[in-house]
Amino acid sequence: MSELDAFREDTRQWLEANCPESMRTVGRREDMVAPGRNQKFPSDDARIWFERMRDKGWTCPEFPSEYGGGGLDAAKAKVLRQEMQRLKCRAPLSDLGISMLGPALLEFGSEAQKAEHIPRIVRGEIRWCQGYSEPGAGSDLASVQCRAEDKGDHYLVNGTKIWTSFATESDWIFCLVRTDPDAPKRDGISFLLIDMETPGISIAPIQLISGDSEFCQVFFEDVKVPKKNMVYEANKGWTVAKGLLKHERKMISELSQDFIGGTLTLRQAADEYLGYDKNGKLKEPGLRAAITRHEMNMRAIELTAYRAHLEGLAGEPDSRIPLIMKYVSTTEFQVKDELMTELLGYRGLGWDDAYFSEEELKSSRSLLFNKSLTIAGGTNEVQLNIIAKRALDLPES
Amino acid sequence: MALVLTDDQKMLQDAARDFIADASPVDEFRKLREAGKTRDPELWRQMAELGWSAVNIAEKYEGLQFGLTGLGLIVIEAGRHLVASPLSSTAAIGVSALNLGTSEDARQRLLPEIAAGQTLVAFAVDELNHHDPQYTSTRAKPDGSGGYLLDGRKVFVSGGGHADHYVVLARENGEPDGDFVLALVDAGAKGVDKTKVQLIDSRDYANLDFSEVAVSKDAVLADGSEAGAIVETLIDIAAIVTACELYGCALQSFEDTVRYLTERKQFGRAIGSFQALQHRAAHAFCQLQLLYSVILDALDAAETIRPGLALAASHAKALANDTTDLVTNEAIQMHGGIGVTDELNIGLYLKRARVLRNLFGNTSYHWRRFARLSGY
Ligand SMILES: Cc1cc2nc3c(=O)[nH]c(=O)nc-3n(C[C@H](O)[C@H](O)[C@H](O)COP(=O)(O)OP(=O)(O)OC[C@H]3O[C@@H](n4cnc5c(N)ncnc54)[C@H](O)[C@@H]3O)c2cc1C
Repeated sequence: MSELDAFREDTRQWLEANCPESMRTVGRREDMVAPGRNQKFPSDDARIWFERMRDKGWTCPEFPSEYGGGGLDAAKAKVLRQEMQRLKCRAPLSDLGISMLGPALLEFGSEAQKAEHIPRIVRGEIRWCQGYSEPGAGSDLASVQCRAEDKGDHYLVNGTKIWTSFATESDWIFCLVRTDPDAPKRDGISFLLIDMETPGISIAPIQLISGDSEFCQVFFEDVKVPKKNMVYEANKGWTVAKGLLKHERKMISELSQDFIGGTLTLRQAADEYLGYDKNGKLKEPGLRAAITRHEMNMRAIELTAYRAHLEGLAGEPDSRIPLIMKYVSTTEFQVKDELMTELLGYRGLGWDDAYFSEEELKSSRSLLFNKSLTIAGGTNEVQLNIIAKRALDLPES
Repeated sequence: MALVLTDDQKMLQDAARDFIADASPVDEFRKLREAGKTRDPELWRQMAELGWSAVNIAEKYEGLQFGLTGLGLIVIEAGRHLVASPLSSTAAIGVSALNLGTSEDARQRLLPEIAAGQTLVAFAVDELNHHDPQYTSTRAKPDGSGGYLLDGRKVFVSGGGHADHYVVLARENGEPDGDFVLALVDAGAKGVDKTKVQLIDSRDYANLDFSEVAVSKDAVLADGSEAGAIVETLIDIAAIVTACELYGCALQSFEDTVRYLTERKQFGRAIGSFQALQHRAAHAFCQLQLLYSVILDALDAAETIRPGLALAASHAKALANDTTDLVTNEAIQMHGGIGVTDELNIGLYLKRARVLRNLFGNTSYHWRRFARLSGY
C-alpha cells in the first residue's frame, strides 16, 4: 500500500469514528461554525466535531504543524477533503483567517506574527474580517484612503472601511491602509492587523437585499495600532493584498454548492415542482435544456479544478487556470439559483415563513445573496480584465 | 491521472505538433482545395510511417497499442492545421469499429493493412440530415448462414469517397426497433453505388446506396442483442474524436485572433486594448480551458471504455460544438472585414467547424442525450 493509500485508510477510519452523525449532513449557512472570543456553537455535536478536528490541526490541514496546523501536503489535504466529502462531513470551522489571512501570513508575515496569530487561527480563538474596500475604493482597490500615520511607536489610523462582512462579530480586522499619501497609489499602501477592541473603532451594519445584514461599515477614529502589527514592510502592503486576493478568489470559486444554494438539488426540485411527461422527460423542454447546459458547465468546471490540482501535483501547474476559476464558478452558481427559482415558481419567491418550507426560503434567499458572488472579491469584469492581461497578454486598456 | 498527460503522450503530442506544422500547414490544405482534391496520399503515407495509422491498433495486429488519448492529441493538432487525412475516419473510428466488433477474422484481415497505411475505412451511419442513429432504417436481411443482405442509403459519409471499406450501420430486417447490425462492406462490392458530395469544408464526403449487398458472416462486426452496446460505444468514440478536432479548430482560430488583437491598430492603439474585445476574448479563453478538461476526461473514458463513457461523450461533443461556435464566430467578428475573406484562415476554421458540429450529433442532440442519460 502506498503512503497515500495508507493515509486515506487511516483518515477514513478516524473520520468514521470521530465525526458525529449529525455533522454528516449538508450544512446550511446558519450551521456554520465561526471562531472567536465569543464563540458560540449551533449544537453540541458541532462543538465536539470542531474540538476533535482542532486537536488534529485539521481545521487548517495544510498549515505547518509547528503552528498547530495539520502539516499535510497538497496530495494528503486533497485526500482528507475527499474523505470528508464522502461522509458529507461539514467544515468544522470557517473563517477568513483559515482561507485568506493565514495563507498570506505564512507567506509574508514575520516569525513573531506567525507565532502569534497562526495558532489562534487553527484553534478558532479569533474571528477575522477583511478591511479592504472603502466607499471610494472598490474595484479600484489601490486607491484606498484610510490613513495610517507613523507616530514613532505606533500607527494612528483614521478613515473608514465598507462592505466589511461580519465586522460586528469579528475580533480582529486585516486592513489596507495608506501610509504614504505622496507615493504612486500602489506604493503607499500597508497591510495592518488591528484588534477590533481598540478604542476609536465603531461599526454600522448595512442591510442586504437578502435581508441579511452581515455587511458593515467600520469607522476608525484616532485608532492606535502597535507597529508590530504591520505585515511585510511599510508601503509594501499591495504585494500582500494581491497574494491574499488569490486565496480569496480560490475560496469563493470552491464554495460548495450545498452551502451557498441550500440542500435542494435542481434534480430534486425538478421532481417535486415540475414533473415529467409520459416519456419520462422534464415537462418544460426549455428548462430541461437549460438544466442540461448548467450541469454540463458545472461538470466542466469540476473537471478543470481537478485538472489544475493534478497538474499541480505533477509539478506543472498552469498559472492561468486559477485566474479563470472565480469567474466561471460564480457565474454558474448564479445560473443554478435562477433555474431553481424558475423550477419552484411562486414557492421559490417566499419571504416570510408562513407558507414556505425551509428549503423554499433558502432558495429565495440564495437567489438574492448569491448575486454578491460575482461582485465580492473582485467583480466579474475585473476578473476578465485580469485574464485578458495575464493569460492573454493583451495590451493595457 | 487522466487529466494530465503522461510523458509518452506529451512526446507524441510534440512530435505531432512539429510534423504537422512542418508537413501540412494550412497552405497544404489550400493547395489541395485549389486542385479540387480531398486527400493527399503522400501525406498519409508519411503519417503512417510515423505510426499514426497504428496508434489505436493492438500490437498483435502490428499496431502501436498506444490508446485513444494519444490519437486524440494528434487529432487536435491536425484540427489546428486543417489537415485533410483519414486520421479520424480510419485510424480512430474505423479501427475502433474493428476493435469493438466481434469478428476476429475482420481484425486479422484489415488491422495490419490499416496500420501500414494501405487501407482506408469510413463509417456510414447517417441516413437523414441530422445524426441520430435511432432513425436507422438500412435493412440487413439475414441470409440464413450468419451473414446479411444490405439494402438502404447512407448520406454524407465522412471519408466515404476514398474509403476501401465501409462500416455500415443497419437494422435487422430494417425494422424500427430491430437489433442493430454493424457490417463491413467492401467499397467495390456488387450493389454498392457511391456519389461524392461537396460540403463547405472541402473534404471527402459521399452518399452510398446499397442494394442487395452481400455481407458474409466474417464481415459482421456486430449483430443480435449485443450490437446495441457496441454501436453506442463506437459512436461515442466517434463523437469524442470529432470533439478533439473541433477543439483544435477552436484553439487555433482563438490563438490567431489574440495575435491579431495585438497587431491590428485603430484609433491609434492596438484593438486588443479595447475592453469590449478583451472581455470577450477572456471569456472565450475560459470556455476553451473548460472544454480541454472535458475532452481529456472523455478521451480517457473512451480509451478505458469505462462506465459513464456515454455521458462523457455527449458532454464533450455538446461543449465542443458550443465553444467552437463561440470562438469561430468571435474570431471572424474581431478580425473585421478581413475575417470574411477567403484569404484568411479564420473562415476555413469556421467552415470545417460547422460540418464537424453536425457530425455525430449536433448540440441539441447531445443536450437531449445528456439529459436522458442523467435520468430527466
Ligand atoms: C457580499 C459581499 C461581501 C463583501 N465583503 C467584503 C469584505 O469583507 N471586506 C471588504 O473589504 N470588501 C468586501 N466586499 C466588497 C467587494 O470587494 C467590492 O464590492 C468589490 O470589490 C467591488 O467594488 P464596488 O462595490 O465598489 O464596485 P465598483 O468597483 O464601483 O464597480 C461597479 C461596477 O463597475 C465595474 N467596473 C469597475 N471597474 C471596472 C473596470 N476597470 N473595468 C470594467 N468594469 C469595471 C464593476 O465590475 C461593477 O460592475 C464585499 C462585497 C460583497 C458583495
